Amino acid sequence: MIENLLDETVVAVNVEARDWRDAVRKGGQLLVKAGKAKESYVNSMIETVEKTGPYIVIAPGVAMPHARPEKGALDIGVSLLFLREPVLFGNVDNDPVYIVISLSAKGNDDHLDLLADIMKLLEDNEFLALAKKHASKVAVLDYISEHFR
Amino acid sequence: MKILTVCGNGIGSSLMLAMKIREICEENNIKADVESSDFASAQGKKADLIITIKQLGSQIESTPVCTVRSYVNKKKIIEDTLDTIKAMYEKEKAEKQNKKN
Repeated sequence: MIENLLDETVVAVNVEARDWRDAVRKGGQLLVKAGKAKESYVNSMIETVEKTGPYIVIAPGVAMPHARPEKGALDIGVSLLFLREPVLFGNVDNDPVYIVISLSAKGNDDHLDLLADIMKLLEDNEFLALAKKHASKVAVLDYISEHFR
Repeated sequence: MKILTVCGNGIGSSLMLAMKIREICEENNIKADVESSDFASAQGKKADLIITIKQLGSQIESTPVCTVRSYVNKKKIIEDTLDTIKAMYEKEKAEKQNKKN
């Protein structure tokens, strides 16, 4: 599923982020640009981290910001940021973060296939290495389409 | 047995954790009904065991809680949960057997 959702609109590499808020905002903005979420959803993504803590940093180096569907999600969506310099979220186990995978969903479980694909990426060392070696956007998109056919 | 996985929003991490727990149960021949939930609704749901991270687990009192260090790392999840799930499952099986007899 992820190969159909990740296109050049929602993938950005070499992204500069001042701090975790900036990183979440930039990831969320791509969802807005792609018509997957309203502006209010992005604020809610940030509020989620403020309220419930940095548990969205789900694996070493990878954050998965998201908010509840009713907070302004319009469709199932995902965006991918590779950060130029990693940022700290305050998660002792998994900081610093250099990959931001933002998520939007319409319901509680209509995006299970997408989550399963994201889990594959989290365990894929070759994919994680792409972020560390500052791969180009084309290289990232090629990698995704090759590995999720 | 009924297992509930919990995260803050109920649409990301808890679903990922539920998928891993289902895999782990299947691999160990444990029959479990695994559901995921956001933290707020979890309080009102019935389950034999809640699996979540430490920060959220410490706020749950109604149900036995097993805490995990990761929502997605299968090795860590197995280390953190399998013994507890197995023990509860065996106990449940034994109780059912006793009732039959």
